[in-house]
Amino acid sequence: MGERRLVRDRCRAREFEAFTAGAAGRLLHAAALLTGEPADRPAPAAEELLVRALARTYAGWDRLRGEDPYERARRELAGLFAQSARRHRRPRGGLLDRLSPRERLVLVLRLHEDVAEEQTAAQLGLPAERVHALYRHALAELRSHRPEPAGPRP
Amino acid sequence: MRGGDDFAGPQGAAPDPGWRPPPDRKETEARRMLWAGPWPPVPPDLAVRAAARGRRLRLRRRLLHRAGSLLALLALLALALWAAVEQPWHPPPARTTPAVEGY
Repeated sequence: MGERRLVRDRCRAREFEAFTAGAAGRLLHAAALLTGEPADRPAPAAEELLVRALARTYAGWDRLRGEDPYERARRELAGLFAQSARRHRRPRGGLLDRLSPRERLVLVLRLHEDVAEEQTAAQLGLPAERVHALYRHALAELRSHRPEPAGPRP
Repeated sequence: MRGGDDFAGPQGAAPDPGWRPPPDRKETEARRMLWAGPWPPVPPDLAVRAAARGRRLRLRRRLLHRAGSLLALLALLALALWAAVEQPWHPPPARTTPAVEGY
C-alpha cells in the first residue's frame, strides 16, 4: 500500500516537472501581463501567482481525468488573479498598465491564450456581452497607447 | 463585430481546434503587441517550489477530507444510537387516562 503510493507520488512529480518545464515560460508571460509587470526582468508578483496556480494544479493532478493540465493551470491562474485583482490595480510599468485588472484578464485570455469568448465568459462568471464589451474596450485602449509612436501625440 | 451567420464560431464549451477567429486587423495587431518583446525569465526553482506547495495543499485537502468524513460518520452513528434508544417511531405513552364512560 505504502509502496504503491510512493511510486504514484514519484510518477506524479515526474509528470508535473515535465509539464512545468514546457508550460512555465508561456504561463509566466501571461501572468506578468496580468499583474502588469514589465517583461524584461524578473516578475515576482507574477511568479507568486503562477506558483500558487501550479501548486493547485499539482494538488488536483490525479483527478484531471483527461483534462489538459495546461488548461487546468490556466484556469487556476485566471481564478487566482480574479480573486486578488484588487492587489494588481497599481501600475507597475507593464504593457497593460492602463487597463483595469478585469480588462487585462479578458484580453490575455482572448488574445494571449486564444480562449473563445463564450468560454472566457463562463470562466469569469460574466455575461458574454459584458466580456465582449470589456474586450473591445481593452483592445481600443491597448492600441491607442502603443509604445512605438516616436513623436508627441497631436 | 461578430462573425456573420455563415461563419460557425465555437459552439458551447468544446473548443474546435480547427476554428480560427475571423481575421481582424486590430486583433492581429494587438496580438502581435502582446507576443512581442522579451519574456520574463523563469526562475529555475519554480517547478520545485510549486510541487512542494502542491504537496502541502494535497496533504491539507486530504486531511480536511478525512476530518469531514469522520465527522459525518460520527453524526450518523449518533443518530443511529439515539434512534435505537429513543425509538421515535412508537407513539408516545398516553399521559391522560381516557374518559370513563358507561360506568
